[in-house]
Amino acid sequence: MPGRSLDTGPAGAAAASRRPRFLDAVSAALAIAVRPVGKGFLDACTIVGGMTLLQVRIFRAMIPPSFDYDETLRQFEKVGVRSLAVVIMTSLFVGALMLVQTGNFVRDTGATSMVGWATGLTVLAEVGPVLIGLMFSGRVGANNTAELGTMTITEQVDALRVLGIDPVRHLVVPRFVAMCVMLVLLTCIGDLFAITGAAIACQLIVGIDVRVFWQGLLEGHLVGEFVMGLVKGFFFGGAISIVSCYWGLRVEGGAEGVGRAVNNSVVTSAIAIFVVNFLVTMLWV
Amino acid sequence: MSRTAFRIPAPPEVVVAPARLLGQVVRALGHRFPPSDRLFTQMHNVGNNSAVFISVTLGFLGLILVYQGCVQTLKVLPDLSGVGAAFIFAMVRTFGPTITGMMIATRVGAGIAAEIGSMTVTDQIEAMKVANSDPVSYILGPRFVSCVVMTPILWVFGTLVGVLFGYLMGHWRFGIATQTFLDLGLVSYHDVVIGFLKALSYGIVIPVLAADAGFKARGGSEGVGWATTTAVVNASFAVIVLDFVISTLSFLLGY
Amino acid sequence: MEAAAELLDIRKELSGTRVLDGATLSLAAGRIHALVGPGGSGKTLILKTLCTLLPPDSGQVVLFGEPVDFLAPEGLRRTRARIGVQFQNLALFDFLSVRDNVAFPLEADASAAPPQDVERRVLAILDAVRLPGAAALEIQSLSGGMQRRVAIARAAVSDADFLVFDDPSGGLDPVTTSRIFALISEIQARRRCTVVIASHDIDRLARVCEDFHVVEGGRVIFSGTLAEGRNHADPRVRTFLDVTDART
Ligand SMILES: Nc1ncnc2c1ncn2[C@@H]1O[C@H](COP(=O)(O)OP(=O)(O)OP(=O)(O)O)[C@@H](O)[C@H]1O
Ligand SMILES: [Mg+2]
Repeated sequence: MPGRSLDTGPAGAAAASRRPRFLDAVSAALAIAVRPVGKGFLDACTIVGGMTLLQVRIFRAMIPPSFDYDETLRQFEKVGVRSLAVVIMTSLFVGALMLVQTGNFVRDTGATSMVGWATGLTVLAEVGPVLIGLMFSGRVGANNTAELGTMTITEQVDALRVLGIDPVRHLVVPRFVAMCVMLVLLTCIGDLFAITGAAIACQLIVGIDVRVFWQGLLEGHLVGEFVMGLVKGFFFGGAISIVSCYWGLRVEGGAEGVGRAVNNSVVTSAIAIFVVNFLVTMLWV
Repeated sequence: MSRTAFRIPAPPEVVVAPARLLGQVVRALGHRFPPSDRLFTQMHNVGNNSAVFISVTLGFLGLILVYQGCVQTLKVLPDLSGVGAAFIFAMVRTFGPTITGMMIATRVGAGIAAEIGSMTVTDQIEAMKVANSDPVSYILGPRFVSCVVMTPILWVFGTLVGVLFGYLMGHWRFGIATQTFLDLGLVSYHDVVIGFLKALSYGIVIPVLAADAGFKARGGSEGVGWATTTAVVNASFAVIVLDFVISTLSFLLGY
Repeated sequence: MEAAAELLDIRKELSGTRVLDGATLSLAAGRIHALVGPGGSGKTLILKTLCTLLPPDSGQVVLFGEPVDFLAPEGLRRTRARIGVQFQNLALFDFLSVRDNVAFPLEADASAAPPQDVERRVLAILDAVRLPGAAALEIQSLSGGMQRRVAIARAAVSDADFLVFDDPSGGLDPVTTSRIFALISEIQARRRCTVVIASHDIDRLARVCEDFHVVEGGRVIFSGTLAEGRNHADPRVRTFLDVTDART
């Protein structure tokens, strides 16, 4: 700005001094309103781009398969053992919860035969996989970010690179495989417990005979919904592993850096879960 | 005698410690309320900074619930007029508060645990204690008040966003008329109260569980990672359990 | 001479390991004490016990002539008002500016200083640690040595009778280290307070400290002057005080 007003003569300077004041006000207002949006958009692009790149590198390591098999087995155990309890507890409550909600409806309409079908549908197709995915992201994804983040700031990841070991093949792919497979199995187990929870709530809280519930559930022909839930589990597992590895490998700074990365990781995972859930349902149904 | 006597089992530590912390923070707030500048910073962080996140997640939730609702209804009836009312009812009473609560547990709970956790492992909490400043009041106080105030507000916001996106799906994809869809017929006064109570209880429980995990962090960055993870899991699980408890109680009481 | 701070047979377990194992220590009032010992021997834990931050499993902490009751908040508050601490990892509040960090002990405890005095005292102590004009800066923008001096300023800003410095020269260059030790002894000379310094720098400690305490395996195995320590019967004391000296 000063550079330009120098070479326009006195008249130009007067005009320039009038116009910029107005323009400054406009651009200041725009900056306040637009800059956060633009910055948020650019940040989102960086994150999505980085994750896509990580995804590509994962596939390159898997086709043809050349990654650390022992580490993969270890991750299977860790992921499964770590999250089984929390998935079971969550599922029991979610099943019971959904049944009580349906119970509100049924009490108003008197359509007791609907209970099994409606609860089964919401639990197997939508709410079950999403809530199990969110809990899994909190338990396993967050932990994974913290673990990789600690390795990153203590320069263990750099040490691997120096030894000629590719961190993606050694650290990321095993986690990716383990989380994809494990979340399918966990969704399966979770569905079982959610139905159990719903059945218990049906008999004890809502006061409808369990047999009515079973009958409704079985006559609903929900196999397709069940399979869709498992497919969702598979994609959620993939999304959570990529998100959590991405944030873990990007940690900077000390302990606060790890905390912030875990926070970002769970937030991004939650967004990914809802978006993936939407896409799978839209393509499937 | 001793075999037949009914003994209440001691509640586990995961419940006792946060309960004690809740007592402490309430007492500290009664003693000294946080100054408004620090309170507003925290409210901005809890509320405004969560708005985009909650819009995205609740928006997608609204879209998918209406989509499923319409598709499943079309299998049995050709008439979609009831979908909107049922969807709005479910949003106000269950999905609105609970998914909003889960999202706040995820974003704000993890944030509080990460902050307090890194202050704990770097001895900042001890430095406060030795300077005779109460970390529960100084650090948790403003965060607690912000969560209690902002969670119900975000519940309203999240429910509105979810309903808006659900409406867009119903209107554009399935051609449900605006008046038919935006039907508040099933929502009664006590559904709103129950939704509000759920949101309020999440707002109380999330910061306390997160801070409890943060204060318990030990070691360096592993400790902070542990605290953040624990906060997300405990707070999310608490949201589900509270939702179940409040829903069951309201069902049994006939509301 | 009466003791400003005493530990009597302190035992402490942390996550299943015995970290303090019968530590007994007496710090005479109005002197500068050195706490030395190999890494991981328990110096930091002993200092934290001394400033009432680590309640022991058994044993007694006596400060300013009174046994500390870790369950009495009011008594703890009065005791802590007389203690200033610089932590080994500094524990500066990264969400506050330098000025707010240094003023924190004065503002958190209204009895520490009248409000109109806070500004003057903060500037005076920042001058004393040779950081004039740094008041408005953010903590993250400072170098390691400057941060350490801010932490020392925060420890010494109130009129504490008992100052604790945990590794005040950790990771600093020799010139800054000498300055920091000179600064600590200057503060002590002015106020006649009791000071304890944990450090590995025996050479420089020897210039400012009268009393040495050697820590090993969670207990204090020697208390006395440096000369006494170098002629001590226990070879661990002798080697530790000698070897470090020989290296520098
Ligand atoms: N929270 C804890 N849990 C378990 N062990 C601990 C904990 N904190 C410290 N320790 C152990 O106690 C011992 C003494 O630790 P301390 O920090 O006091 O050593 P130090 O003498 O200060 O060492 P340095 O000279 O390196 O500072 C160490 O072996 C350490 O591993
Ligand atoms: Mg130490």
